[in-house]
Amino acid sequence: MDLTLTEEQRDLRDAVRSLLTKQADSAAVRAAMASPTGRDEPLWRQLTGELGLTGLSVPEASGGAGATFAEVAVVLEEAGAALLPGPYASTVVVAEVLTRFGRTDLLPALGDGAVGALAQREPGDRSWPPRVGCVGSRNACSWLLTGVQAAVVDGGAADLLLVAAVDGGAETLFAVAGNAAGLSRAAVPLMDQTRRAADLRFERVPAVRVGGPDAVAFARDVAAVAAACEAVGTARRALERTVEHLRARTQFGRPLGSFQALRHRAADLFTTVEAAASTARYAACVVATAPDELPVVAPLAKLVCAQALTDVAAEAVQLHGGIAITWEHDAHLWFKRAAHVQHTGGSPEQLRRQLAPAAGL
Amino acid sequence: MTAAEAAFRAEIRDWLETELSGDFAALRGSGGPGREHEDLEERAAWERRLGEAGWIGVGWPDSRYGKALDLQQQVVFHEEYARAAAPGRLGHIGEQLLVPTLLAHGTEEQKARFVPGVASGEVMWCQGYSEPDAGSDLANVGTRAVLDGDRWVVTGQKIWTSLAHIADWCFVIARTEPGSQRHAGLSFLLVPMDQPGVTVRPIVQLTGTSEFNEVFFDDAVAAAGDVVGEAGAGWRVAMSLLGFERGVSTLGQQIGFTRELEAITVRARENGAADDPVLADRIVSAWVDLQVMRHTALRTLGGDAAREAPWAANVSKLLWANWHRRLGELAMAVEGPAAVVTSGLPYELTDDQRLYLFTRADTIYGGSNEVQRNVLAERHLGLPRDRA
Repeated sequence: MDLTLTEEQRDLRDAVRSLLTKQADSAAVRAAMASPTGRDEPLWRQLTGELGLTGLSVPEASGGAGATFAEVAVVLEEAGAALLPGPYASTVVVAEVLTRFGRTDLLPALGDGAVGALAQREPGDRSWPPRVGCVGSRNACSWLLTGVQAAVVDGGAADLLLVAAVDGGAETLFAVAGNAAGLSRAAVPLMDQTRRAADLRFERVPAVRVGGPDAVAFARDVAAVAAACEAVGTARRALERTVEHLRARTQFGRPLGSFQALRHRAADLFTTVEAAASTARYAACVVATAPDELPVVAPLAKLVCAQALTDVAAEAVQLHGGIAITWEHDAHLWFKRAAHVQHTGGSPEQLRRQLAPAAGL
Repeated sequence: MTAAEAAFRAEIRDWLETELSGDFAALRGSGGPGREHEDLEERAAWERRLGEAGWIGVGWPDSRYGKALDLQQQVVFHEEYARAAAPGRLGHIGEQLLVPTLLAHGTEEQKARFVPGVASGEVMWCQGYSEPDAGSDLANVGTRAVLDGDRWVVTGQKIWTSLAHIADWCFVIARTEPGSQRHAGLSFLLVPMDQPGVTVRPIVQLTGTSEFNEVFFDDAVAAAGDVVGEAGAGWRVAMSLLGFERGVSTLGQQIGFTRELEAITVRARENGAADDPVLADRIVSAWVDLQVMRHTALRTLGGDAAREAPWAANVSKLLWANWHRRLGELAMAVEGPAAVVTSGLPYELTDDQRLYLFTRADTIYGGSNEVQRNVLAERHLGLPRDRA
């Protein structure tokens, strides 16, 4: 498996980076954070419509660009680098799941900026893999879904939700329209304000079956890989900005970066980020070409990349000094994003427990 | 895997399986870092067997001297070599350091004279770089060489010279311009070891065994023509060999690491250590970090790695050395109180103990962690040099 970027992937990365540098700089991100929808509407329309980035891995026959999740991962890294507010990651996860399970007919109008989201947790549940408490029941012509889900990222804006439920004892993945009867959604505020979330209540909501336990697991795994790719992007950007600070900031008559104690910490963070980036890339290629490996590689990638971002964000704060404690500087945004990634989708301890059999325990 | 790759893999696997079932069967697992003292004569014979079969220098970029395999085939070779637990190489310094340097900087006459001996597994080399006052500060070389007619006369001391006690030749960085400072005025000389002016003294390591040596040059001689590159330009030649290792052998090395971790994991299940959730967590962490190293190696071996990962050598050295050192600590923790008892007199260490002790060297040799971090900071992060 060649993990270096292809020429096309490199071009894609450069194009997205250039766009986000202009349209999603710190000021734009903060404006989006403070806006009612939590995203920059013109930018979202451009990303989804003109550029078709949410449909990147959807087959051309189904209205997508016919690329793979390896290309989606390139965009996710750039979205993470910019802390792009909005439902990019949520939507591409839903698109990937529906594509894999042959249900692109359920895809909302991605080119018009439609949003997807994956519900993963019930209120009060701290287990991993998460408890599946929603219940799907069959009536004459469809399924009806009943249950509650907590703090679903992009769940408020989603045109299509993926929800795991128990159907006759088996875990089943269902798709629910955002405007379905019986679905109520209440926004919940997050510490990481670059994201939006909602509590969802399903009361006999019409649902479509996407797949069985393998679909539930696949959705969880793709979400983990997406989170890993975004986290690597954020970590890399936070480190770049920190290194710039170490070069520019002078104390005791010399640049901070000339102090070996600080240079060595920066070098260790660089090693951490590039190692994590390798695993994220590997995982993205696994989604695209070798999904048999996904049950191991996805939690591995989430574990490694969330930890890398956690380490980098914490050191970014320390190495920037006092300015990093202010609202004005971006360091707190990286630090809050790190906490979000670290504490959702399985804690480090839970993910290591999940990986124990693969490790021979 | 392509059919060609599978066939190539099968060819190497069969060859190793056959060879390591006969006269060389006892050599499986012998040698390598921390056990270089083992089976020296038998391993020298193994080197000659490898040479005979053409399995030395498979990655040299000149098909006159070797198979000139492509990158993927080289990876396969190293993986199969490690998987078979084939003996630790004695000739790797000549194969992986000296010959690539000669192919890049040597004259045709030098190549013709020195490469075939390495290729046949008959001529062993050692590396004369470090000195007592030139460790991480390698440019502080004090060994001198003076041209006297048709020969260089070399005086000085090298240290940490791996396998000098079995080497036929040493490539030496020496100061050939009197009064020169730092990186200027150094030359890369090829010095025969079997001569009155060369004394090798083994260094007894913390394991009680020896693989490093001190090498003393007292008016030792080298032929005037046995300087690689121009006299005075030795620093550039000496440093270029650091770039030859693109991590091809890394995936093979990781197979050895996997084997070590598996042994520790099995032991933890047997002796109950794995029932301790904290130790279990550490074992999984070690496994996770090994996967990350594999992904990083795959990325740094990819088609466009030179552009995407110019930092590969430094990052992978830091990753594997730290990982291996932690593995030694984990091995002891899994063993528990029994970890302190050796296997016998006079000082027969257990595998865990040898791993625990010798991995302390991993983060020091081949560019210490601190040197790797400085290189990353200066070359890849663009941070300013530290001021003395």
